[in-house]
Amino acid sequence: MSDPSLARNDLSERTLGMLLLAPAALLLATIVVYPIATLLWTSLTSVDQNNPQAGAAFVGFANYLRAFGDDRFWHSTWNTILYIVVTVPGSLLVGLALALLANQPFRIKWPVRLGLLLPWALPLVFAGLIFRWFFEFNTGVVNNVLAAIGIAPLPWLSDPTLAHWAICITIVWKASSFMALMLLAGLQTIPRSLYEAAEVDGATKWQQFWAITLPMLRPAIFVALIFRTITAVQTFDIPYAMTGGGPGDSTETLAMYIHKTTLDFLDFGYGSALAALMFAFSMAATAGYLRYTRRSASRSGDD
Amino acid sequence: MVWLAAATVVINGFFPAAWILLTSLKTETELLKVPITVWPEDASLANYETAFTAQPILRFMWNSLVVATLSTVLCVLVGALAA
Repeated sequence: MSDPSLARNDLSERTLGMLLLAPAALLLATIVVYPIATLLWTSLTSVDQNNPQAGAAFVGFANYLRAFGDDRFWHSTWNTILYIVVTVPGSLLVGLALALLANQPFRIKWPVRLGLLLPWALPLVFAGLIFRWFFEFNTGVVNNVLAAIGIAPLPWLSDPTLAHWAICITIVWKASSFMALMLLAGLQTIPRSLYEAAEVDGATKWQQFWAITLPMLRPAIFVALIFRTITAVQTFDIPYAMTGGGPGDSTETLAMYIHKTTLDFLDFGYGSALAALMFAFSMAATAGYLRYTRRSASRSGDD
Repeated sequence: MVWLAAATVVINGFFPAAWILLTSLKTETELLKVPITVWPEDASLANYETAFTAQPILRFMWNSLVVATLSTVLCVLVGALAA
């Protein structure tokens, strides 16, 4: 049965929908599609602002080939992977612990909420600068606490291995706040009745955690992990503020190398190619997670 | 137990900010002292005075406010329409 008035109504509703979507689409086109297209195009050319007269010559995939043969690219990629592998699970565990602690029934809630929120609200560069001050050799809190318990001061920021640790600790502190917020929201959606039923059945707190809390928290954990991984791929501010990539370039991440290539060395073509590789890298990481969630979602649907 | 949980979260969150607040009240010579001091020996607001006189900091704050407000308004507007 076709009702012409209904069809017209449908059509105008669609037009309205299109109109309402137009600003968002336009914004996306100007701030996402256009820059990415420009980036991809630039990565195929040799724009070098050290030599502006040369113009932008099309060089095909030469910039990408150069990246694959560039030790510094591999080194910075390896550092980025190290930070992902250490800080994503690290901030998940610390964040989960904080979320569980903050989910206790407190009489006065605001100090705990604020304490959970504060590291997240702090700009990344500030966190980096504050922890750089903490890890300072002579005047840092960390070395002074170590001295108080009888351990010799450690050169946190001038030893490559220790610098990695210092940066990882800072990132975990900063990122666990965001994780905790996401997981706390997840914790509060778990119905109390499940715990009451478990208590009636004589389950211990530990068993309740593994049988109720963790399975019910899985969607929240996945969303938090995806967000955290994407930001971890782009790790820039904290190492930049803490070590500037040093000592040498031992703590340099891929994002820092891109920044240096384009804005310090002014090699826009090569920098764009590196950025495109990082983009592919973060897409691959996200796609991996999404595939995993879809598979586990369909599996639980079959049950 | 509950108090311990609260204290852990609060200290974890507040410690760096609180430390910076205390540091901001110290003099430059006190900052370079070893071992370090927790409470400022000679608390002064001199650093804040420098912050306001060495650069147009009110202008910077105003800039941040404008950017934050405009971007929020724009995001909400475009996002609300799209949703």
